[in-house]
Amino acid sequence: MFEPRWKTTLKALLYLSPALIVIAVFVIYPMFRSVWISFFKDYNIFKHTGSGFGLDNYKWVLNDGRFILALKNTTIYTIVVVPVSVVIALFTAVLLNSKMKGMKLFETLYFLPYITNLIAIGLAFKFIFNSTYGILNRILGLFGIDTIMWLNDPKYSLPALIIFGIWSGLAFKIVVFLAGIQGINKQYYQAAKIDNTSRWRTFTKITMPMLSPMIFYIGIISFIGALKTYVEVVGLYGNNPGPADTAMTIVYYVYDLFYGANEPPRAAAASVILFLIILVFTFIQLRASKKRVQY
Amino acid sequence: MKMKKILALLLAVLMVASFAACKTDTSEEPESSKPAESMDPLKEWPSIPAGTVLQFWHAMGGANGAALDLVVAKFNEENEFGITVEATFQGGYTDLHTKLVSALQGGDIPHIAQAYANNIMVYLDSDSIVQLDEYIFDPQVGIEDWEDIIQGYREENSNYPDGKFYSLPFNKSTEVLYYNETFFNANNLTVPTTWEELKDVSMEASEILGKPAFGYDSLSNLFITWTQQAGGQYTNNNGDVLFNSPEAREALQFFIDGVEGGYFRTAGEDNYCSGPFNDENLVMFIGSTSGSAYIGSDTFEWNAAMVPFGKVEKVIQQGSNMFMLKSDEVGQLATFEFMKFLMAPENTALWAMNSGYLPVRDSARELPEYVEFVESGVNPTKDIGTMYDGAWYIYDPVFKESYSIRMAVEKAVEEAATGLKTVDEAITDAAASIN
Amino acid sequence: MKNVYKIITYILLAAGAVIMLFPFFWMITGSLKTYNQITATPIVWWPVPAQWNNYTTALEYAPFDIYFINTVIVSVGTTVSVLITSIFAAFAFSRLKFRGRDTIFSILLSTLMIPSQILIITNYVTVAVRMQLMDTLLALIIPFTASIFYIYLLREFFNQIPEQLYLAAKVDGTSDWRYLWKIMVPNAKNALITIGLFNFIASWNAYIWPLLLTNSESKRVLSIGLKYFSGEAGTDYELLMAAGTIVIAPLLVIYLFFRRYIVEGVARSGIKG
Repeated sequence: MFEPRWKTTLKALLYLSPALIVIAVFVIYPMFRSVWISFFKDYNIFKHTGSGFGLDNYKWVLNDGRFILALKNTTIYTIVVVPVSVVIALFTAVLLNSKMKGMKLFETLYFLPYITNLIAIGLAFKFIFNSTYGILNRILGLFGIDTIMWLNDPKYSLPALIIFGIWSGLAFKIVVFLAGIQGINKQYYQAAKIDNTSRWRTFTKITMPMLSPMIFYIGIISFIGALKTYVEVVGLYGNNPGPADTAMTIVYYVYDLFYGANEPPRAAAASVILFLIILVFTFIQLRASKKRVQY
Repeated sequence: MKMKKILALLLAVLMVASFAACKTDTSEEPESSKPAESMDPLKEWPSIPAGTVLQFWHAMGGANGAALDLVVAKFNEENEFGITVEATFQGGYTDLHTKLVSALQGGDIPHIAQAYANNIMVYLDSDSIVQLDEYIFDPQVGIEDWEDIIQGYREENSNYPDGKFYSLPFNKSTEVLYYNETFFNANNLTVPTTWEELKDVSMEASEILGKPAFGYDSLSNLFITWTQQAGGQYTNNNGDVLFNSPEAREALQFFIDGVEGGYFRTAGEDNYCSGPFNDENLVMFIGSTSGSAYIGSDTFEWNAAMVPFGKVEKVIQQGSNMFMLKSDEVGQLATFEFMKFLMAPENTALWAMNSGYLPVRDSARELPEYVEFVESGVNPTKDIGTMYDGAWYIYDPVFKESYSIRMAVEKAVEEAATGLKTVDEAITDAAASIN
Repeated sequence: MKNVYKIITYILLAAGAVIMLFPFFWMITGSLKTYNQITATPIVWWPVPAQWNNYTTALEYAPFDIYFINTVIVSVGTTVSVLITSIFAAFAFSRLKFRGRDTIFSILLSTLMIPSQILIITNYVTVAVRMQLMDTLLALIIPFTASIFYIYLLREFFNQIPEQLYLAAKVDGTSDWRYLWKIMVPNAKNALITIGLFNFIASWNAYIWPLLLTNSESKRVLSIGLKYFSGEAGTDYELLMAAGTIVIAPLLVIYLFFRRYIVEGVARSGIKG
């Protein structure tokens, strides 16, 4: 086949250059700036001068109880939200793909949450979770579950965030999965039908393998997104990330450190740590996927 | 593809590029700032040419924004210099702060902006903030009746590392006790003035109501105020933590006893107690006077009173301040004229009558139009908020960690209130978390 | 058996739809309530009379008409740019075999891991100070003209187009450029519309960057308008919900218009070419 040659490489770089330039200027360059800032004990953000070069900020962050709490919360959030939302989205996409009447209407409804503005919809969720006038407790009440103080009780503040997080990410995932499923060559399904293959077998033997790049894409994207959760916290809790910080995520912590406590170097150190954590896990995922994902 | 190699490569690139970034950084010399003008009583001030335009960045949305537009329009129409102020809403306080931090890196900055003192202290690092003493105390352009400005506000705005004024009071508020007057009358309850009364009335009202009758909006304010009402201290200007004390424990225990006894509560999921207050789920709460716009119901009459006191009469002052950014001599003088205008008795009164805030001067409270406004009873906080003695006011001393400490004590109250920690543990941990 | 399956499918989908839509319902009914009705017990399901004046009041808080036009310009501008840069980059990643492909892709992917909140201060200097674009709509577009998020997604869609087509074209002597525009892009039309819509929506809801880079009302966008309703001691919930509904209403129209394309991904009716 075609071996990579310098000529193709040059051509490829030409195709890549518009995107690469923008990303280099607006993502990679400021990222290096942040890394640089993170090594200064004292840094003047306005004049860009610093003193005390070293790892002090990293030590400080790693010893900060709030960071450890944020790390714990974010980890739990990610471990729950990613698989649950991927499974629900996949399941829904498969259902929506059935050849039945009214599926177009359902598709329309299911994608609607994607157009939301998280500030306004976060407010709606806040009301839904409220222990006095919230609808969620009313519904749970029908099943004999006692009133839960979703947003007040330290035990439930993170679960509330998780529910909101699953909801807010579903629409995008369903769209991508459905688009992926519909891109699968119809002949496979026709063949399966002729052979009278069961639904489950069709799903595991055709849909899943053919869809694996999309599942992998969604997995990676939502994994990164979950570790970077921030807007959902603000939408649900405003300026106080749950009772006693029980719904504080790492990015919330970073933001609060940067603009609240006015400690940009420490905030930068915390985000570098987050970056490294995500990087390591993503490489593990990428590596594992090389063996499983089919193209 | 060897992932380990890529990882190593990435890290290496990261490090190298950081050091490269270093070089570009140090070569970026800040633009030379003007030398501070000397304090000369015979200083020759420039004349302000007509048509001078000033930019004002603020965080006042909604009704407060409309009130500000009103005062600014009045200035633009009346000022003798022909100055025009363009006021721009820049989102909430946090947004405005983000914007100022960005702009102070060499971008377009306004002439005047609004901010909390702890953030203004950060902006001082940019060398772009004007020290105001030379204006305030100048015999020609200064503020003659300076002592008329409320004592606590004057103290707060010179509470910077060098003890100079870098800001002036702008939108100030304080805490009051809001109560459901209809409920109080119907049940023969008296408005509490002391902690003991607060406890008794809350217990009585809670029994009638079947749920906690009293709430406190801001838990950090609760901790800071009640600790000092109990005779303790919070922090000082050096940034020393002083709240690891029996008084603070007494204050917090008083609140936690109420929470556990079912007669006190936090705002919690409601964010502000005004919601449950309007829905008659509680019948009194301590909250900011600036929240009065959100209070009201068709089903009952409400009123406000001074907050109940402990051993010592202390009440917090809230709201933010205005500060001047460096421009040229004319621009700065024009900005100071605008600041003086905002603090003039009739204008601070006009501002107070239309916004959620209080006048910054004692004399403004005696102006006929303000007295008439207060007597009309449309908003009792406008009266109560001005009844506190200027010496009762407390504020957060400003230093590098002041924000983090405020967050830590708020968390301590939440931890104790939700039973995660005992009062003693919560306070000990909060004090230890400041490093 | 088949009918049972059908019924279960319908029930599940209907239940899911209710969950997906309930927050919308709550936002829209909330926008028609009085301030106190929003938090009232018993719950007010449908306010009578509906407070339509919440909408007129909310619209008076800020010049939403100017904001609307600016938002359209910025969203269209970023979306068109993102589509162009993504088409090129995704093509290179999915079809061209070049040195360092996986390395470059991995580095780009790693940039997704940086919290954007930490980058904006530096980007402010780049755009406002170095490029001197303060208070222009261009400043709101430029940093968002490329997105690794969509390059990655488009690469996955491009990968669904059979490689044989490319190899055949190569044998025929078709240039890469021609192949991209004659085969790849038309076949991925629906995927491109989907990505365009995703980007359009994200751009429409962007908040902090537009706020930082604009001062004049004449350059601001809709999402900034939502900030007028929160103060330091409370939020005008009913007005915020009314404004929130106003802000997403145009998206709803656009979405309904493009809806039939977005789920089809690539090549629903077989590869054309």
